[in-house]
Amino acid sequence: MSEPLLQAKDLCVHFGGGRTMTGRRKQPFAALKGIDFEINAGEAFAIVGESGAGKSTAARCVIGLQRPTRGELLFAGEPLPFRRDRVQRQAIQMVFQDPYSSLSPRMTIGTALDELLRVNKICDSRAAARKRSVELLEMVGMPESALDRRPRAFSGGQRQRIGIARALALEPTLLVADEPVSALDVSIQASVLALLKGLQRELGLSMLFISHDLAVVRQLCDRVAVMWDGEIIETGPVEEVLSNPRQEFTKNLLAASTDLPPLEMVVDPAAPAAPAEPTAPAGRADPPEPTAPADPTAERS
Amino acid sequence: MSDGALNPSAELPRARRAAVGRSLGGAVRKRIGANASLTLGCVIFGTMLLIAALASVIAPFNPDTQDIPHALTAPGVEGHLLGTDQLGRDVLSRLLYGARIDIFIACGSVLFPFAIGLIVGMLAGYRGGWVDSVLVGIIDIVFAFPALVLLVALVFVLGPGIGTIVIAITLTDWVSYAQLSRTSSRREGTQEYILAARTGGIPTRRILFRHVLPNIIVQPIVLATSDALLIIIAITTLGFLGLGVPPPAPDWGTMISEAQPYLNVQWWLAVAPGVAIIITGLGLSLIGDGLAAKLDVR
Repeated sequence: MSEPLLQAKDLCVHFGGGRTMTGRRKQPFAALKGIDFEINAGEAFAIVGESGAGKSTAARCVIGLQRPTRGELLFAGEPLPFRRDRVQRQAIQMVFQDPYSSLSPRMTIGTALDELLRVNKICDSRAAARKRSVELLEMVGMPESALDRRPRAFSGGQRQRIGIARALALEPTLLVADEPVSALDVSIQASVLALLKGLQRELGLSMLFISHDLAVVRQLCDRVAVMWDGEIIETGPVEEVLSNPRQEFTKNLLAASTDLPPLEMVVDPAAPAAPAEPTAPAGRADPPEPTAPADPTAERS
Repeated sequence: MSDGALNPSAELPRARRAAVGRSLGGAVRKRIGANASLTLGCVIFGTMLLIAALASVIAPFNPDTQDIPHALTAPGVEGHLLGTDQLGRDVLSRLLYGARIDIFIACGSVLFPFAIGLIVGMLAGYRGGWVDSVLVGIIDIVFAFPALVLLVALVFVLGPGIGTIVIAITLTDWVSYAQLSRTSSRREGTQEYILAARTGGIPTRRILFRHVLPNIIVQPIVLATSDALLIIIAITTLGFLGLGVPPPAPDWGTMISEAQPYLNVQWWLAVAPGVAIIITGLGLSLIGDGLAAKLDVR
C-alpha cells in the first residue's frame, strides 16, 4: 500500500499548563493523549466520540489552528509544522461547524471569496476571481446572485454550502469537516452530507470527518477511529467497527445513536419523511430551506 | 466628576442603544427611527460646524475686545444680544468663536485616542498571549492613575495650549477605546469566520482591518460621540485650574467658570454656553445612536 496522505504520530495537546503567579505549576488538561492515525489518499476518515473526547482538537491540529504539545504530523511524507507554507496550508482546508458564525457577517460572499482567491494568488484579477467564485458556488448548488449578498441573507443550509465552496476555493487535497451538519436542521442535514460525499468522490478529495453521529459516519466514511477521553480506543474500516465493535464504549455509542435510513432514501423527495428520533412529536415536518432571504429583522427582537 | 468624565463607563452607550431598540416597536419604525436620529444629529452638529466655520462672519463683535464700562450689561442692550461678561466682551460673539475652539479640540481629542485605542485594543485582543499581557499592563497603569491628575501633570510639563490639551487627552483617553475594542476583538477572534480567514492564509493585518475591525467598530463609535462632549467638560475643569485654553481665546467651559460669581444676577452668562454644550452634546448623541443602528447590519 502506498504512503498515507496524512499521518499523525503520538499527537498530544495539553491546555492550561505553565505556572501560577506564585510560581506553582498548574495542572495541565490533556485534550489529546498521544493519538496515532493515518488518512489515505481519496479516503474519507471519520473520528467519532462524545463531546469532549478530543475530536475537534485533533481536527484543529490537522488544520493548523492548534499547536500540538508533542507528536508530529506528516503530510504526503513531509513534516507538517504548525506554521505552514502556502502550499501546505492550501492543501488542507476546513468546513466549519457553525455556519452562522463561519462567514464574515459584514462581507458579501463575493468579497470574501475574491479576497481568498486573490490573496492566495489563485486568481490574479477581480474578474478571474469572480468567474472562479461562480464556478465554486455552482459546485455547491448556489446561484451566482449569492455573490452580492451578505451571509444573513441565507439559511443555515445555504450558508454551509457557501462554507464548503470556500473550503474548496483553495483546491485542497484534504478536507477537514468538523461536525459540518450538527448546527443544521435535521431535514437539511442529509442534502448537505450528500453534497459533501459527492464532491469528495468527484474531486478525489481525502476527508477527515469529525462527528458524533455514527449513522452519518456509516453513510459517508471508509474508515473510522473512535475516541474517548483524548485517546483513540478503536480504529478500522467503518463496517467492521460499527457492526462488530470490540470496545465496550463503541457498543454503547452505537446503542445510543439513532438509526437513520440510508442516505438515498432521505434525499429522495418522494420517500416518506425519515423516522426521526422516537421522542420527536409525530408528524412534525420541518420546513424546507427557504429560497428567499429570511427577514433579517426577524432574528433581532 | 471630571475623573469619571474622562473615563466614561463602556456600559453607558450600550445601555442607551438597548433602550432605543426597545422603545421603538417594529422593524419599520426602528429603521425610520434610526435614520431620523442620524439625520437630526447631523443637522444639529452640522449647524454647529457651520457656526464654527463662519464665526468671523456672523459674530456681531470682536470676541476679545474688552469694554469695562459696559461690563455685565443685560441681553439686548446696545446690540449685545446676550449681554456682556465681566470684562464687557460680547457673550454671543464669544459663544460663536468658542464653538470653533471647542469643536476643534473635541474632534482632535476624540480622533487620536479613538484610532490609537482601537489599534492597540484590537492587537491585544486578537493576538492574545504575551502581546495581550504587555498591552493590558500598560492600559491598566494608565487607568490606575486618576485621569485628571495625569492630565494636569501633562499640561504642566508641555505648557498650556490647544495642542497640549489634545495631546494630554489623547495620552489619557485612549485606554477607554483600547479596553472596549480589546474585549470585543477577543470575542470576535474565536469566531469561526476569523478561524476560516486564518486557515485561508489571509495575512494578520488584513484579518484585523478587514474582518475584525468592521465587526467591533460600532461600540467605539458610540463611545466617541459621548466622549466628545465629556472632553468639552474636561476642558472646563482644566480652565478652572488655569490650564485650559489660554485667555483671551473664548471657550465654553471657561465662560461657564468665569460666570460663576454672577450666577445670582446675570445667570445667562453661564446658561448660554451651557445650552451650547447641551445642543452640541445632543447632536453628537443622536449621531451616535443613528450610526449604531445603521452600522449594525448583521
